[in-house]
Amino acid sequence: MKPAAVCYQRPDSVAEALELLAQDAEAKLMAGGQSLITLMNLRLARPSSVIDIGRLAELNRVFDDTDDLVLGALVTHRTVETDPLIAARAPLLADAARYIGHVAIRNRGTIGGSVAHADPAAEIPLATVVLGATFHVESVSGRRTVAAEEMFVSLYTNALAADEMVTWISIPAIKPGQGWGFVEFAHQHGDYGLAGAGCLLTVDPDGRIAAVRAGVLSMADRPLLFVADDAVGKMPSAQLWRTLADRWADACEPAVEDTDYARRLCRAALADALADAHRRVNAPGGGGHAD
Amino acid sequence: MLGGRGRFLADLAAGAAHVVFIRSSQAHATITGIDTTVAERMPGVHGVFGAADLGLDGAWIPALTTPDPDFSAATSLELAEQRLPILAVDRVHYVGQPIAVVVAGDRYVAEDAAESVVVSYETLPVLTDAATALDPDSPALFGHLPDNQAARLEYEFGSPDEAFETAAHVVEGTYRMERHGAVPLECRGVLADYDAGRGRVEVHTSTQVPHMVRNAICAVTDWDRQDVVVSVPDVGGGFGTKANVYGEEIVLAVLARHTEERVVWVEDRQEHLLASAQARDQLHRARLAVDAEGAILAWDVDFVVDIGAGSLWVAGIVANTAVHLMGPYRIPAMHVRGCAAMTNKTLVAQYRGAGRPEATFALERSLDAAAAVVGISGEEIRRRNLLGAGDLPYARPIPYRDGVPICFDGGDYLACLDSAVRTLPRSEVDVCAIENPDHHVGYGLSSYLEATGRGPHETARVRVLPSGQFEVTAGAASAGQGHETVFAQVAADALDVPLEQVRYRPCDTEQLPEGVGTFASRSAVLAGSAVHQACGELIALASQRAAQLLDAESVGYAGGRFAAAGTAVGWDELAAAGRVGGAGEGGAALDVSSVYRVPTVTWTMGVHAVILGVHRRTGIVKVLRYAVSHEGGREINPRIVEGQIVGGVAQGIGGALFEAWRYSPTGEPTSTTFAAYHLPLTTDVPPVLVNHHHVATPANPLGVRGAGESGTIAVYAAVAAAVDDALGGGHHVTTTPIGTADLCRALDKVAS
Amino acid sequence: MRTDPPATLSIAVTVNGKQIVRTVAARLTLADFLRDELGLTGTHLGCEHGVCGACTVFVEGRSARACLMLAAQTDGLRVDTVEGLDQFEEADRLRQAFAERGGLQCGFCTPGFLVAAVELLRDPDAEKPLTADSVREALSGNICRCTGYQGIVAAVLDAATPAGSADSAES
Repeated sequence: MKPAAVCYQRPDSVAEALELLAQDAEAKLMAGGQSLITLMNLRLARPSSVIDIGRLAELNRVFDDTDDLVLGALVTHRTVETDPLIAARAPLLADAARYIGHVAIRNRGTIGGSVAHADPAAEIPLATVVLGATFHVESVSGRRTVAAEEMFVSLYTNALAADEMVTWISIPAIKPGQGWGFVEFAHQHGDYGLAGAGCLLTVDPDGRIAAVRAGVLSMADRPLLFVADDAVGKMPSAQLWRTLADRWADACEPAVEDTDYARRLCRAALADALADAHRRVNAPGGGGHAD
Repeated sequence: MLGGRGRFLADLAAGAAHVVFIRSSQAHATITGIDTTVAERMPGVHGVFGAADLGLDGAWIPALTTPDPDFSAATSLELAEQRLPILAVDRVHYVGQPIAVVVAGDRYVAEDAAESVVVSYETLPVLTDAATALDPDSPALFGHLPDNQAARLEYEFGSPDEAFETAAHVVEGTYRMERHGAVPLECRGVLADYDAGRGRVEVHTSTQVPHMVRNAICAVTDWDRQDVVVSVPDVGGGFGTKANVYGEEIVLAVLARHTEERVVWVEDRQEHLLASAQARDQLHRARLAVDAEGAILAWDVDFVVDIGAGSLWVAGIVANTAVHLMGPYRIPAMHVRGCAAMTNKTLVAQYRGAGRPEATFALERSLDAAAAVVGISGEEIRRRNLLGAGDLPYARPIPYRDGVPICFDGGDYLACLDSAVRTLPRSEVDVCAIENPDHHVGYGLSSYLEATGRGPHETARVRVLPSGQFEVTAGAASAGQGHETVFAQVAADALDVPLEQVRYRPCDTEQLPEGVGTFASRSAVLAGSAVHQACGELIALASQRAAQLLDAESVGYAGGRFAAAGTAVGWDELAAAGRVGGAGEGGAALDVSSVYRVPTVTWTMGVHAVILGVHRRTGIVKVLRYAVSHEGGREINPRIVEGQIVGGVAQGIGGALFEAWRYSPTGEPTSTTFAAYHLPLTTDVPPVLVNHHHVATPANPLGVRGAGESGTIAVYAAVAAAVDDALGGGHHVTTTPIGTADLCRALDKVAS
Repeated sequence: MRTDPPATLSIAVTVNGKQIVRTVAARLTLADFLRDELGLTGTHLGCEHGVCGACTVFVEGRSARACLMLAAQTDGLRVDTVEGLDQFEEADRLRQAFAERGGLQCGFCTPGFLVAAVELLRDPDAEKPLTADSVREALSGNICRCTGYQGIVAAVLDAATPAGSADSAES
């Protein structure tokens, strides 16, 4: 299982990377390489050239930007899992990262890489969708932003043009009155999720729901986002979570043999995630650390 | 190993050209053409070779063993002649079947070249299901085997029909174990080189059976035994899939001779999951008759093994299954029918248990079903039927595969049940339930019986080194079972010298021209006894020398020294005496090879107890506690025995919960990476408590019984029983791996 | 005029403390570079798709699957393999514990486990003291087919406790 012939380039800057990307439609950016090299070993991916951006330190940073947490595309899953600032500002993301493969994979894999790979079973894309993240995208032609909801188009297909690259991810930091949940079910530790759900619950000072949004993985060719406008103004309750979980799971049409089981798992993940989110709203400080 | 200095097959590849096999992409087809022109022209490619180029056109992999005539007579065993081509020429029968080889400077280039080879096929109807394959209306996969049946047998004793008529309760069930298997962490590999000076081919292969490989190469090529040497490097696990002879091994040997190049084939994981011998894949239709108290009256099983496109071990698998259906119980009447069906799936060979787990699953599940009907617990029905001290030794009316009438030479099987339930009592379920509130927690038991140490023989060699130390080797080939330690210990004990004086050397067919190999839980019994025997013969030989040296009539031997009338010599002096200038110069070396023949198998037995949780909402199973009580012989190295058992339990959990090779209806394998074929992880296997009940066996001079497979055999049934228990008793698991979706649906039924 | 990007390149890597300069094919994996180019065959290939962990090495001090890296990516970086673990004081204790506790049978997975275990023992973020469960979770990315993991977990727990203190292995 050796890769097919390929060329290798390592640009010294984002600008240079974008130049190289623009020159060759068959070239692929490589950050951590955990997905790309797997596919190359299986000869399912045969880029003409890999553009190694893994060393671009400028994109391996995390910082606050007013109400947002900003992460560079090259921040690794391991950093997301362990960094205290991310745990404080985007605990849903930090928790989601724990489910990604195993430590050695998380040491190399990057959030930008996961986003670009657009695997519908992946945790990072789901988390960014639930969190309402914004991707900063760049090419030789310029810059633009893409909302997370718009980034994941279908199976392994993102909204980027061939010469575009994700550079930064802005995530609205968790606020007081917000709780989050992330639940994934798999047969084995670190395995691809059979089903998984993330959610963000916002509650008013009087305890009523101000907003609730949730997303699921492995139920379609991309992460699916659900928003419950009719829950606004209601009091949180286990019954409400069950109702929402039923509604959203039933709305899914997973392309698997046993759709009944897939929906059942999805329902359970949603219900658990909503319950967790509610519990966390009441935790001291609102947006607390990952459990 | 701990310093990363192991020498596995791939570690020996430096300087060798790399071989990649062109493999069939079709499950059943005629080959209408093969275009290698692009490959042959690629820079770095040394050549592309098919069967005709290597003189292997029409050559089959030779049969490895022949069944004992007494066993065959007693069980009406019939075997078809399988013709497994070494390299396919006209027709392919499974995806992954080898067709040709590419040889290139490195593996990368070889893969490039292999990709460019175009094989043209005309597809034929595909059979992926044993029942369909056996249907008379289905097409014959092999011209000479019109019924797609590779083996069948049948035996009966007592009067089962009468018993079924009059029994208080009869339970019926269909039990299925899906295809899964060894999947060692190290894939296969073969290195071959032609030594023109010595006129022989040197083969290194990651195998458990170097002598069988040597024999097969000679049978196909007509080479003499000294024309080829087969050696065994460090082997990264075998578990039975490497106790097989593969076309790839024969091809590499022939290729080395043909090209006079050093060539290596390192199997990769995708290839392994496609083309390495698979296992299990059995269906049992079973009926058990019990009286009002649950005592077994009769047992009737009709089973089918799906051996894919062929198996060199079909006789063994079918026989093992048939015999082990007898179980460690008082069964007065039995009727067993079994057969092996051929389908368009990968070849099959032994895998840890080799038929015993499948038989045990059917029997133990049926016992649990009977217990439910009678209204007693799983523990109680076993208590009422297990052979106790008063029953043993327990003769059975058919012979074992070695032709010797079966007699379970155990001590007290009830004692294993007692100790298992004492070590892991049902009451632990309450503790586990509190610790795991998201799970339904259940308890399960299973017994098993295992014939171990099957002969007919094994060979060992021990020789004195110039220093007076010893080198031992045996026909068993280690794949991680610690032979280096165990056989050195046996030798040191037999020679009455410190362990540091003895070195174990893995065998090769030059240094040890005869041997059988490692499988069937036989190494300690056969190879160990052979080592012991060889040491005894060495002492006898050396005693004569010592007597001469000491000018005595005879000598006594103790603690590494030969003594007579106040003087003594040690092995170092004997070794020195044998050198030029020494008192015994020119004499024959102090070097003994000995063949140990075992009269028959020796039986082990055990009981597994497990507590597990079924997640309330997802059906996902978590194994929480595990205990094994097993009756074995003397343990040469208790830590190694325990390691074998715990490792066996882990593989059993894998097969019970996760592992399956699946095929699409058109014969496409769908489990070709670890993303689809799931091995158990650290988080899947709980700590395993092991109780060892020592029952000496006079069957061999070491008093040992085999232990390599026992950890696996009972796991499937124990886990199934615990799942049933977790679900409240209304569910009866009949298939492995256990599907979590099914458990969810069963939970729904329980709730409603 | 654009020149084609290189299919071979020169890399300078520090492997087990030694500076190595070689010309490699772009597609050569780190695992094959270590094994075939440098003869460091202790890093084993069990799957070549990142699942089994047998090829685990340290890259810049963090565990990584050598089968999922190109040698080219390690230019200018530091790589440590099982052969170079002596630089870590935990390694000796670990090896001893593995030998005593039945932490290995065939030895094929062992190098990957040793690297992963050294990382775990040295991890400042890991909750200490380690428990059997936390060890199992941390090492769930390494597959062993022989031992059933019991000996491995016991060995890591042994090595985690300083010499002379009570036996902490799981029952």
